Amino acid sequence: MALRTTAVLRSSLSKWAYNLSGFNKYGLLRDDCLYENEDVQEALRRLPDHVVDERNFRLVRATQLSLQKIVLPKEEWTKYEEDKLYLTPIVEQVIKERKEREKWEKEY
Amino acid sequence: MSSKNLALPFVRHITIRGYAQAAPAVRKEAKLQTSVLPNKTFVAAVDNGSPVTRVTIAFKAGSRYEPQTELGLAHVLRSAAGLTTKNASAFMISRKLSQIGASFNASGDREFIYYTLEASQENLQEALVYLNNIVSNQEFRPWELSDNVSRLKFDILSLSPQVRAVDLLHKAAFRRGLGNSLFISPKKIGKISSESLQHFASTTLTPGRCAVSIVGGSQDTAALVAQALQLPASGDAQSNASTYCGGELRKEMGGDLAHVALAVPGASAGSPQSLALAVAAKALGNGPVTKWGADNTPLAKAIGNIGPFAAAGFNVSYSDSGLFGIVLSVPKDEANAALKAAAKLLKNPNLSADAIKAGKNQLKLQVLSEAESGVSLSELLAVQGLYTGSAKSPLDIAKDIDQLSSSDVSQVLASVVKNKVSMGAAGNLAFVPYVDEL
Repeated sequence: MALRTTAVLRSSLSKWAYNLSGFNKYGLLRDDCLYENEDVQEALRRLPDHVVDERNFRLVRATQLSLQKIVLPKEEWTKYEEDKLYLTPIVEQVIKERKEREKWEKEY
Repeated sequence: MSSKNLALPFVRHITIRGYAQAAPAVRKEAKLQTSVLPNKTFVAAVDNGSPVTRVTIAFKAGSRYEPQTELGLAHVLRSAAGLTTKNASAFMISRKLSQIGASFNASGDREFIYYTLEASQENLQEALVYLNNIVSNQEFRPWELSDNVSRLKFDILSLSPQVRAVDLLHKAAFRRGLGNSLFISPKKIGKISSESLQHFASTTLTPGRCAVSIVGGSQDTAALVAQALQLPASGDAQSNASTYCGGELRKEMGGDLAHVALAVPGASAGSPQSLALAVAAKALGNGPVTKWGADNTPLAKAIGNIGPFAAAGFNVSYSDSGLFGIVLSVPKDEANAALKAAAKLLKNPNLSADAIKAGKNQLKLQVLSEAESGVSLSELLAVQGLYTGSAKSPLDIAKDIDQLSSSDVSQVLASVVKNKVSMGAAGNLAFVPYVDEL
């Protein structure tokens, strides 16, 4: 029972933090906000084309909104439940491959 | 220190030298062992005591199994060998193999794909782990395939025009199935999706279509290699039965030379006719036997003195069909005369007994000298296993060649040359006659 309460509490806490962070008001997803370092760039290369196109659309829209100092109408905000991590698993894979490479270079 | 050396009695030195002897050189009989595992994988081994072991894993996954909508799959598949699989990354595969001095290559023909590993005996076990990782659970990640595109382009750019002529000949002769090109068409590069490759691999790289052969290792090692492979159990790609249609395909590429391949339908692999035709192909001619020497083969004599040219008989056998004919490279201006003379010989080859005897000897030499190289021997064993379900040692093949009489060869030859001639031509075709003009 205590466990379940904790889980519910945690989920509502993260939902609150998610809404507080504000990027969802521009229609962005969490993975749209990743800093584009080399790993992320490599991961973006591995995405299917249509996913990259959708990402670019969201980024352009967000820039436009930010310039105009407005946000999307509330029904178009990204919902916490709908925010799927489309990039993070690939970034993790890229980092794993880089670590493997670096480990090899160090050892031989 | 020197005093200590002197302290060693001279007599004792002599006894040591006397008793020490070189280990007796054991002349190992390199016996060929074959078997079929319960999962229908064919396994062959020749333990010849070589310090380098060659392992070949071959599959019936050549270009003839490509569907007509996805031509070029087989080329992409063999070029994708060594990319990241479920078990190991491309980086680790290449680094680990080079760290232990092993060498790996993937090659293919119309019927099969061969994954061949060469490693020294002491590093064999580790190398086999990586061979297994390369072959099983291939993933074909889309971004790695697109990084691989330049390799495909290079493959196509480095094709010799003779190879193109023979490729066109197959297309003209069989249209589909065996007619599928060995190489991806330039327009298809980058358009073969990971999914279709995955589908092709899962229907062709299966245990029932697999042969494992090992040269310089034991039968048990080969069986272990075969059993360790993680392959999809089901799925069986079918190829259309090859029917010989006959025809002509030409590719005008410019240049000074015309390269032409002429052929009639030959015999299928493993049949006695195919061996007779192989002898006949050698008997027709294979270029001069001494460097810069005169070419005294029947083919060269038929073409006559037209300046520099190269001509050779050729014979290929596949599981259900084959081709027998002539490959010719001539300067463009002499193409007409040379090609007509060669076609006349192909349609009516009156090979003398001496020519056939020379052909037998040359074929024997070729079979035996190819077997000297471990890689080609191990691929040869795998091919035989996949074609016929058994394997013969090169020595036995040479004995079979000996037993052919010249009348056998002429009979088989007379029966195949009655068929329609097909032609594939590449290069400068300005003066190359069409096949009905021959």
